[in-house]
Amino acid sequence: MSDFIVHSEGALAQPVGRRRVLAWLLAPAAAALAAATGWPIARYLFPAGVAAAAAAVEIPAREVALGESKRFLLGGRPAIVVRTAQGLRAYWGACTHLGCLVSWRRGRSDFFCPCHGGRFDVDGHVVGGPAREPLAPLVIEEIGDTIRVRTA
Amino acid sequence: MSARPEVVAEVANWLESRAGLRTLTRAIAATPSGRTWWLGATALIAFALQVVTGMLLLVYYVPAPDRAFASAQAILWEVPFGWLVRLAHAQGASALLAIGIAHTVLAAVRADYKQPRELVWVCGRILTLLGFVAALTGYILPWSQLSYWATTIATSPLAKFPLVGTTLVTLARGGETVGGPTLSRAFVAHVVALPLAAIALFALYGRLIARARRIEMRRGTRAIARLAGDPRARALEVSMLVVVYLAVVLALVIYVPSLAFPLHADRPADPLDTPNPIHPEWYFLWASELQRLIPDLIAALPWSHGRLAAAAGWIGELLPLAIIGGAPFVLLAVPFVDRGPERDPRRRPVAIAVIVLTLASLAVLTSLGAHE
Amino acid sequence: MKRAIELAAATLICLALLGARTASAKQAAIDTCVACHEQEEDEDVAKAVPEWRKSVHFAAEVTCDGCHGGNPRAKDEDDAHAESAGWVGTPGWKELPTFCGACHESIAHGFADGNLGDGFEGGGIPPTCVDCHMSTGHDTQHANAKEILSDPLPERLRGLPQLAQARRDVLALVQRETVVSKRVAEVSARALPPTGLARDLRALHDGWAPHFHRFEPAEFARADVEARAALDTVESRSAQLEQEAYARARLGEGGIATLTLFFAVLAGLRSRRDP
Repeated sequence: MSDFIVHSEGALAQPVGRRRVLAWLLAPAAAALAAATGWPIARYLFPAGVAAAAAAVEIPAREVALGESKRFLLGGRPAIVVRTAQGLRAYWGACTHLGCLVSWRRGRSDFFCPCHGGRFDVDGHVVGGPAREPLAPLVIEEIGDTIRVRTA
Repeated sequence: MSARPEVVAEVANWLESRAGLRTLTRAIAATPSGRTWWLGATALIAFALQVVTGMLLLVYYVPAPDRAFASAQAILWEVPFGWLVRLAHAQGASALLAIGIAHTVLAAVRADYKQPRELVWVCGRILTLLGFVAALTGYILPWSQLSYWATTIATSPLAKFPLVGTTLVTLARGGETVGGPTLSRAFVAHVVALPLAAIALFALYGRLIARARRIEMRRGTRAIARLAGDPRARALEVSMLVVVYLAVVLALVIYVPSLAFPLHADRPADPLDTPNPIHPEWYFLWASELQRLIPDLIAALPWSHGRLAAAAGWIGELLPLAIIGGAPFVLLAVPFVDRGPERDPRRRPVAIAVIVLTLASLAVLTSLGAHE
Repeated sequence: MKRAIELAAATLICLALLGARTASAKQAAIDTCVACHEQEEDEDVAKAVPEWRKSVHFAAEVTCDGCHGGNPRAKDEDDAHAESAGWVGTPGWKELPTFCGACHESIAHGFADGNLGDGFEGGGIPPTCVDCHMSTGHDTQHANAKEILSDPLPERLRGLPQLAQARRDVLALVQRETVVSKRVAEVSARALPPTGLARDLRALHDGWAPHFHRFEPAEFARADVEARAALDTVESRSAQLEQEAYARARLGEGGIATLTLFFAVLAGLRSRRDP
């Protein structure tokens, strides 16, 4: 064994041998190996990021009468539109608490989430239940006899 | 010795008193370092790789006949590094079986089935056979032309059993022909039943070996090379083995990916078209070649015509099945047939001759099958 | 022990080679049909063998019995030319499209339905497969418009307007197909799982070839447009796969390098522990 010893005054008077160098090399090498194995697995498990494409959907106006609501898909995600005396509103359909879909209750004029009793008013603000964020709004416009909804 | 921090020593002591970890690692470290042991360790590592890659494949694979092929192809071409996972699993399966066969041969040559290791051999052979069954059930999952027709060929012989034939075939296929129910059954077997059985058997195997070794040490019948192994040295050696194995599989995946895709494995299953030619994977070529060869040989015999023609036909059809079906049982019975105390290969000419002949026949059959 | 292994290895290798040789069908045909016909006194028959050896059928492992039937493993003339073995003999002029159509079915149909097939109205001997695809008999080359329709066409066909038009139309398409198929061959030579591109190309070719053999310019124009679109798709997929193969190879090499580094470190640590 050809250890060599570094003598020095003060705190660094420790023997430094080849074995120690290798031991110090082990950790970074193991880390490199873990990264080399982990990165492909991480990429494998995370599907390609779907670009949040600005999606738009057109709905015939007659399908949303006064006081009525309609659920639809926008870019593959559920959304909801409602027509009230205050006008047309559209929101992403997921309750901001834990993601169940809200329904428009005509009699109470609110959006209701069945999972934990969350309630939102016509403008999307929280009026009851465990949610803390308002419903996420969508841009809505009515042109002639078509309602056009798109992401904000 | 490198200076270990106090914390590590304390945690180690805690684990030792609660879980007996140090005792366990010492037991694993106290293993002989012969070629047989290393082959067995490689087999275990290969199995572990199959489990890991298999689990990853399950994330994207859909076990339904109308989606299986598409999902497997998506893993291969679309999912990032899906090719790595799928090819590692496919090439790794071949590697695992090759290692299993080599381990069996080496154990047979070194007479590792003689007293008191009979059950060790039986347990080990059951594990090898499970490997082949895993290959068979795994093969149908991508639902390619090869999947479909290789499974048809593999399950049809079950119908030839007297009395219970139809029941067996229906059990294996979930119906009269290979279809969706077959896929579901193969899926359960390959993904749940076989891995669980294999893990249980590996644990049993370790225990049986430990007991046998203790008996042998007491009797002094076996030269144990190293008894009190250094656990850290053994851990390093095993890590090196893992690294080498991963590198070998990676090389196979990168440089010869088409090995995992024999003819017709890249086209979706078509129940209305049996492709020509069609071969199984290399580890079953010997069986398919027997199926082709024996009827031809029997028909070529001079007394196979006339009144004996029907009998000749019957023998030609059933003899290969008997050989293929009986082979596992013969393998399991070896320790109970060869009971002599001699262990040195140089002084067991009959046993060695039998081993060499078996290997030679398998090699010839495989080669013939590959060239059909 | 060592000797037993050596003996076994030697036995294995010998038997394997033996098995490989006897099982080859091409070898069987060469042993039988060629052995007799190469030595025929009739020159017209004898020259069939060397011509066949230069043809695309030889390269594709299509042997005598593949077209003419008969038994390539027989030991005498009668057995070799037995009708029970499917012996068809030499086809007559009018039977040629059916003869070749046994394998090239859709093309034969297209030809028969087309302007130069059953509906041929020019006088004299009607055109048939060998006119364009062979010069002497068995030396079929790979179907390439430049080689087929270049001079000299058989004298009696040189004036036909449909053939001249056909040549102009198909030459460009075949050239494009050759370029793409070279690309596909390059990709297929890479270390990739089976890509299915060669099969796609074949299917593509089998799609337009029957239309071409009708010798009807308008119909071929439609097939041409479709074929070109499909060729574009195959080409862009080849390019994509080529990049993919390169990336995978580099990644794999990086992985092997990392594993080797780790192995070296472990080996170093391990060697420090020997008593």
